[in-house]
Parts: sequence; C-alpha cells; structure tokens
Amino acid sequence: MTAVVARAQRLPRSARIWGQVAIVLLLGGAIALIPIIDERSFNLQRLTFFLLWYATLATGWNIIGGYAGQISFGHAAFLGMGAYTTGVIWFTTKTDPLLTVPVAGAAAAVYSVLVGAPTLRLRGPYFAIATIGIGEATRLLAVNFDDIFGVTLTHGVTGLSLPNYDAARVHYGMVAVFIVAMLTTIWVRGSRFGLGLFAINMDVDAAETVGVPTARLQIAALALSAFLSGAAGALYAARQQFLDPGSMFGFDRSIALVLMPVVGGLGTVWGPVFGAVLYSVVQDQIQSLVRNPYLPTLIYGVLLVLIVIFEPLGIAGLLSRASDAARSLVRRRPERVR
Amino acid sequence: MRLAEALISALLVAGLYATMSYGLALIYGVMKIINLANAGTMMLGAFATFVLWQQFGIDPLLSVLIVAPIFFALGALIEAAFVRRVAGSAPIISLLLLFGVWLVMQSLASLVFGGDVRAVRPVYVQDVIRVGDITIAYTRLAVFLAGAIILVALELFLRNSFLGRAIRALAQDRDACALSGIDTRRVSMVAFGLGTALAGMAGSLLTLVFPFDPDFGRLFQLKSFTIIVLGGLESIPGIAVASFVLALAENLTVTLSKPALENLVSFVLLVVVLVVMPGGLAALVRRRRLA
Repeated sequence: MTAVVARAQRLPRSARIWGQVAIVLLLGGAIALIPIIDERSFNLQRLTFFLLWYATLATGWNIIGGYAGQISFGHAAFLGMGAYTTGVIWFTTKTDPLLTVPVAGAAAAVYSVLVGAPTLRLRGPYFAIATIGIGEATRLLAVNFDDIFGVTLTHGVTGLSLPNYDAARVHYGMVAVFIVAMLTTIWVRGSRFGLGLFAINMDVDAAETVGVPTARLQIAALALSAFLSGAAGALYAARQQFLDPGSMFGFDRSIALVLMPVVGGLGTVWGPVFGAVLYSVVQDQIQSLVRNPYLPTLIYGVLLVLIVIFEPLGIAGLLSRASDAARSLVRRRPERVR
Repeated sequence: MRLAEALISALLVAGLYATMSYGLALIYGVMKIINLANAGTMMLGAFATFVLWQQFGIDPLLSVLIVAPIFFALGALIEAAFVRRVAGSAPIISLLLLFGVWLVMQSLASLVFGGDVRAVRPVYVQDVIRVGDITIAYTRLAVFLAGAIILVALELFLRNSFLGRAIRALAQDRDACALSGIDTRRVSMVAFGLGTALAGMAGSLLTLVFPFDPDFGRLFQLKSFTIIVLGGLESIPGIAVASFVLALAENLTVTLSKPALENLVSFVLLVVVLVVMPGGLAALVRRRRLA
C-alpha cells in the first residue's frame, strides 16, 4: 500500500486524489466483507473495528492538530460527547444508535465551537493548554451532570448500561464512518480550506495578511474534527453498550489521540492511519506482553520525543524517505534539487 | 469569620501557586515556549522530597534547598539535550516535545513509586496558629513564607545580577541581545534551569499541603497556565495577584458549592479571562490608567 501511496504522490493532483479515494474505498470494502465471509470471526472483527475506530479518531484529530497546527490535549471530550449523545438518546428513546451517529457528531461539533471559539481566537498555545481543561471539565460534567441538573441521564460514575445491538451492523457503521473521515481529510488537504489551514500552521500573521480568515477557519477545522470524533464515539457506544466517564473522558484517551497522528505523520493524509494501525496492534498485544501498565506510556513518551526531534513527519516521513532512497538506488538518478 | 478564614487560606495557597507559575512564566518569557513538562517537574520535585523525608528524615522545608540545584541541573540538561534542537521550529513542535518529556516523567514516577496517593506528614502537620477566632494551619503558613522568600530572592537575582538582567533582556528582544554580545544559548539554558528549579521547589512545598500521585500534574499545569494568563506573562506582582484570585475562587467554590467542582474553577476562569480580558489583569490596569 505504501508503494502505491508513494507513487501516487508523483501523479497530477486530481489523479492523486482519485487514487487515494480508491484506496480508501478498497480498504473499507475489504474490511466490510469480514463479517459476511465469516460470521464467527469475532476476534478479527474486534481488531478491525478498533483499527478503523482509532484511524477515524486520529484522522479527525489531525484536521485541527496536524493541518491547522492547533494541538488538542482534550479530544476525549468530543469523543465522549458523541458517545454520550448516542448513549442517552438510545437509552431514553430506544432510537437505533446508528441513526444517531450524525446527531452525535453534530453535538460534539457544537460543543467544540462553544469551547473553541474563545480559545482559538488568540495566538500561541492558549488553545492547547485550554484543551487540558476542556477534557477535565467535560469529565467532571459527565460525572456530576445528574446531580447538578437533578435528572437521570449520564448515570455518573456508575456508567450507562445500554441494550444489546447487532455487532455486524456496528461493523458496517464503522466502515462507513471511516470512509467519511478519510474522504473528509483527503478533501480538506486538497481544498482551499485546507490550504488556509496550512498557511495558519506555518505563519498566522502572514496568513492573516493575505486575507485568510484565520479564526473562522480554525474554528471550522475544530468543528469538523470534533464531528468525526463524536461520530466515532457514537459507534463506540453501539459496540461496547456501556459508557462510563473514566473510560470515555480519561486523559489516557486524549494522550492516545495525540500520539497516533504524531507518530504516524502530522498533517499527512495517511499518517494518522499508520499511527492508528501501530497503536491498535500494540494495544491489542500489550496486555499479554507486558504486565506493567505504566511501561507503554513510557515507551510512547520516548517515541514522541524521538519523533519530534528526528522525524517530525513520523512513519509517513520515514516511508517517503525510504522510498526516495530505494528509488535513487534503483534508477541511479542524480539527487533531485529540492 | 468564615470569609476572613477563606481569604487567609487563599492567600497562603497563593504563595505555592505563584512559585509554580513563575517557573512557567520565566521559561515562556525567555524562550516563548510553554513548558508542558512544568507540572511533571513539580510532581518529580514532590517525589524527591518524599524520598528525602522517608529515607533520611529531611524536613520538606529543608529539602527545598536540596531539590533546587538538582532540578536546576535537570532543567539545563533538558534544554541542552532536547529543547534546543527544536528552537526555531513551529511552536507545536516544542509543545509536543515537552508533552513527550512530561509523559516520560509521569510514567517513570509511576514505574518507581506506583500509582498510590502519597503524603508527607512531619510532626507539625496538625499544628495550628490561632489569631483571635481564626485558625491558620502551620504548614500553610510555612509554605507561604517559603514561596515568598523564593520569589523575592528570584526577583533580586533578576534585577541585580548580570545574568538576571540578561534573562530579562532576552525576554524583551532576543535579536538585540545576540547583537549586543549576550550568549543567548547559555542564558536560555539558565532560564530553563531556573524555571525547572522553581517547579521542583514548588513540588517540595506542595508535599506539605496536598497529597500527590504521579498523575496529579494535569490540573496544576492548567492552574499555573490560568495564573500566567490572568497575571500577564512576565510580571511577578501580576502572577502573585492572579495566584490569589485563583486560590480564592477555588476556596469559595468548595465552601459554597460542591467540592468536586473545585477542579472546574481554573478552566472556567481561564475561559472567562480569555473572553473578557485577553491581556490579563495587567492589560486591565493599563487600560484604566489610559482612560
């Protein structure tokens, strides 16, 4: 796949975009076939569900964090907001959870605009630090919501137990949301909107000077990002059928959402997917390999430091370097001037 | 009486808050980066104090003096080994780098000490001082005084020594400093070391007032950021006032409503400040003066 991606990068823009769309559809289609081919392949279904789930979340994060360069340390808030929206609607009105996926995304997007609008209008790292607060505040809200407003919606720390739901349908729903997320990120990267975000990432003042509406674009990017996170949250609710504030809004989740795109390749289309593949495979294997719950965090921290210093484009950067090297070996062309 | 007690209690906690926030402000002023590892440093400072107290019976107030040079060296090392390499790249790069450093600190502490909540309890931990009807915890008073001494010493250093003036100059204009022959790299290293030492000392002091675990950093990171945004980024008086405001707001929240909401205060305050007065208290005062 990587060879295809690398080759696609040398094609004209429209061909490149259609190539990427084709890869997304093939990948999604292949994973959608899993429950059809073997109904009892529960392990593989679980692994691929979470692979797509993490890929969707990382892709969503990447739109604000990678494209616009506004790091969010609190994206679990939007994920959890989506999960709880679907959970609460499902629990109270018995609506099919898959139908509420867009509602969950919209709720997360609206919430993100409310908290993002004051913090994204300012220069510098205000947003990044405020997101730590957003994550913490949202968790506390979920825990105390019933107490504060005197209703029974989130069930606080006890958690929200939901009815059973058909696993295969959740699987198809996840494939659909993943495809939407990938098409969104491909579109943003090639669009005028995306160019504006890249300009903001490089130099806010220069972007402002040439007429990029910096505040508006960043808020739009955050809303889009939160929408995808919220939609992913809705599918989590439908699959796990249990929600509690600790696992939905935990800081560990937010850390994972930063790690995947950064390790995979900040601001690239496929980087977050690479990061998600790595992360979900590592998470899947880790319980049997290491007994210590703190060791993975240590490894992730070291990895983060190394990547930032040596290869800011992460796995995607390493792959494109490797393919460049391989190509120059094979063809013996003189090194291109960059 | 309860109001007076709340005010005093807030004032005493503010000494600790100011110490931890000033480390963040110093590094931001000189290097224009937010040290996300600040709270991690504080946590390490707290655990270093815990070890010194448990193994050697050293009082937390004394171990401040031991922690300071060690953490100065740690900060200088972090600057020279990591932060310097990403100087000049986009701000998110340094943010991510220091986030990684923070994760490493947190997980190392968890590996060594486990996830339990710890506390340092010397013999005088229950002692109180009574002034009329008001009772003041001895530990809080001691922590406040220690914080005040540290900040005054720092202010004197920044005003009177050549290195201190160089640090302040660097915060104003890095290029002009380089042109006039100041070794900007060395001064940056010292500033990062000083900021880290301040966070470490704040961690030492914190052990007397709050229980702690390897994971407590997030909240204090947010608190200190709220304080420097509220207080203006480079003024000690501004930070002192902002620390008091935050401590008081938290104190009143706990007294008047649910204790669980205490942790919401710093976030709400941050958002309110950003919306209502993005320049912080300092800008508010300046505007008044102009009007």
